[in-house]
Amino acid sequence: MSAAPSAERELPVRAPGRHLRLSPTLLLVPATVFLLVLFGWPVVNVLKQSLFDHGFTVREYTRAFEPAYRRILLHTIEIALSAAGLSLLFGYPTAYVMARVRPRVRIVMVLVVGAAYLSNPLARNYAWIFMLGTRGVVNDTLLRLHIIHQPLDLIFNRTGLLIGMVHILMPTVILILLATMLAVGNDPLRAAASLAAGPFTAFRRAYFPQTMSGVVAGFVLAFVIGSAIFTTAAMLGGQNDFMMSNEIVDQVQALNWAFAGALAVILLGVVLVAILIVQRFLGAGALVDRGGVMARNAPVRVVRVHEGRVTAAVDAVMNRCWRWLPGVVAVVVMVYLSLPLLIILPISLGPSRFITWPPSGVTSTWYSKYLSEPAWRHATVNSFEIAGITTALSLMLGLPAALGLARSRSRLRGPILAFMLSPLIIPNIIAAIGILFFFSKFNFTGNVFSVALGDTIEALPLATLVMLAALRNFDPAIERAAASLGAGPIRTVFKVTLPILAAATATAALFAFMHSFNSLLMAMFVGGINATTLSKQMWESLADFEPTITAVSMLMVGFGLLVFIGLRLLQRRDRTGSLT
Amino acid sequence: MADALGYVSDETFDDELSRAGETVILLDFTADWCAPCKAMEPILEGIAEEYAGRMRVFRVDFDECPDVADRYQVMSLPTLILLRDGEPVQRVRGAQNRRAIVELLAGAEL
Repeated sequence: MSAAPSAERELPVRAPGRHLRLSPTLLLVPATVFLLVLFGWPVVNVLKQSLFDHGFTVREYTRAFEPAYRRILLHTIEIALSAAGLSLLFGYPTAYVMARVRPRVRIVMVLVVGAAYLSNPLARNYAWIFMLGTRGVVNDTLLRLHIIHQPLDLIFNRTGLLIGMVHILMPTVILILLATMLAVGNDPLRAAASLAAGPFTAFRRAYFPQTMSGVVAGFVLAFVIGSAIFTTAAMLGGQNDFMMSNEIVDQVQALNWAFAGALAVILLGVVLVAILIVQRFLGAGALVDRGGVMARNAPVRVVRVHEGRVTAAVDAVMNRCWRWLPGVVAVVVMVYLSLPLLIILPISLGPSRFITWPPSGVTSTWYSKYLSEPAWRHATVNSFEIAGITTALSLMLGLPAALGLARSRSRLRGPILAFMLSPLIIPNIIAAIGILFFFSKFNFTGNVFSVALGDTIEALPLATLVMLAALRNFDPAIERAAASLGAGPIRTVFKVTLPILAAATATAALFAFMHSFNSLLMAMFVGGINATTLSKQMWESLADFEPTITAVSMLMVGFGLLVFIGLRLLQRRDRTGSLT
Repeated sequence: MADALGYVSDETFDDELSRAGETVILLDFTADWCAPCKAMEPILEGIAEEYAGRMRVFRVDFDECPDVADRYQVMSLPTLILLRDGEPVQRVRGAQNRRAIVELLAGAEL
């Protein structure tokens, strides 16, 4: 995204006849200082803690490269790459179909993807447990249809882990690709078709290269998020699927913080190497373009494929099936994304004390139990409080930052933008460890504010990105007109700028809220027993399972769906950044 | 050593327990969809071997044995129940590590 042409030079906000002059670059200061103190410094401190123990030592790193931990690192890379690759393989045709269907169909598809995106990951993992068990929904259905005669081993192994991880990663990949594809439009395909290219040949040569920025951004983000997921590995994976983030969590809980720090630094190194490789081969603009929105119109180097017999043979086969293949993949993906969310409802209404399929009746017992148990009630109140504080902080810091990023022409703007977005492309477990070390020094743990400050590290860039995208279409001449009529800068912001950005600000608020509401790590690391959130309570319930969790999972999924419908309504009011 | 663990159903439960010989029995209530139950399996295998001759360990799959689960009022998984002369003397809910299980058994003078 690029800034509006009329904002090419830095526009000081100045009221006629007054001496107050605000440089847009100054608006970047609060968010930058916040992230320097609560993200930059803590991450550097993780490195320091892992290297210094009464003097410089590489003891923790020597231990981290022992065979057992090397194996975990290799598993982590292998699992994250596989999950990101599968998300892209199935997500690309789905996004391709979504970009080309009628708007009404697209709305339904975006609703499915968005509901999955905003649903609590733990609730989704629980849903997969109910789906994939030996007596789960999938095996039960296949056995009843006589497609199989023995239950398939679909859970507590690599298969189960990848099914669960791809469900978490794919919505992100699809939404990024869809934004890229809507920007590209259908012109390349029409142009190629007019030159008598077959449908797949036209796609491969004229369309796909133009969407490479989305492919790269989607894949890298999926890899980064996947490398830090630990709940799915613990809930759906087998004994050989233990990931680096699981080890880091265990070491933190065993109070081996220096070793956990060393493992986190190694994980960070792996992610940075992956990003450097992508940038080396595909161009520096692959992840963040000059305007600051990921994957939209970012210039990337296109890998040229040598045209020869092989490509001709592939084209000959694919041209025959390309008209229906993406559609079939999209239908399968829609079922895959929505089924676990839908299946929780009947299971949560089942009367059995444990998970049975099909349910033998209908009861509201587990919902009543959720409402009556103090632990769940307390966790619910904490989750809303923490998400509320996170949202307020993200807007207070993110709105000035977005205005500053959209208007500033300072040379510092680029580096500040890259720094502000870095929490999104660095595994969140590293920031969580940094915050744990940092807050522990000041004895500032075990309260809702410490968790909210931690959650804001990722919610702030998310909110800033949403508002920055809206500012793309904002004409600063409106503000100048207000100023020329005598409005001061503060009055202009409150009477002109904010009302125009209201829908985008509300969208940013919902993203920030849901990010915090669904997050687990900060509550685990710095929340203590006083700031237990719903996610943390759900995570702890895994070790002591009872069916109230099905009701909580259903409520979390339903809440995500409601929020997404709210987002859609907001987007209808303000078309900026809309995906439909 | 999967043999170290005994497996029962609703129908075989009483017979298996009376055939077990030992007066002390550890029941491990589990289910095939329960991840922490799976994680405890190797620990319980080790415990069963170590305490062989003094105690038997039985895994009780909830889906196979709903009546047994009812009889012992199991409300969450995993649950461990220690029986002495057929009567429950210790009960612990949630995933346990090896040390916690050994402490539980020590509490029952094993």
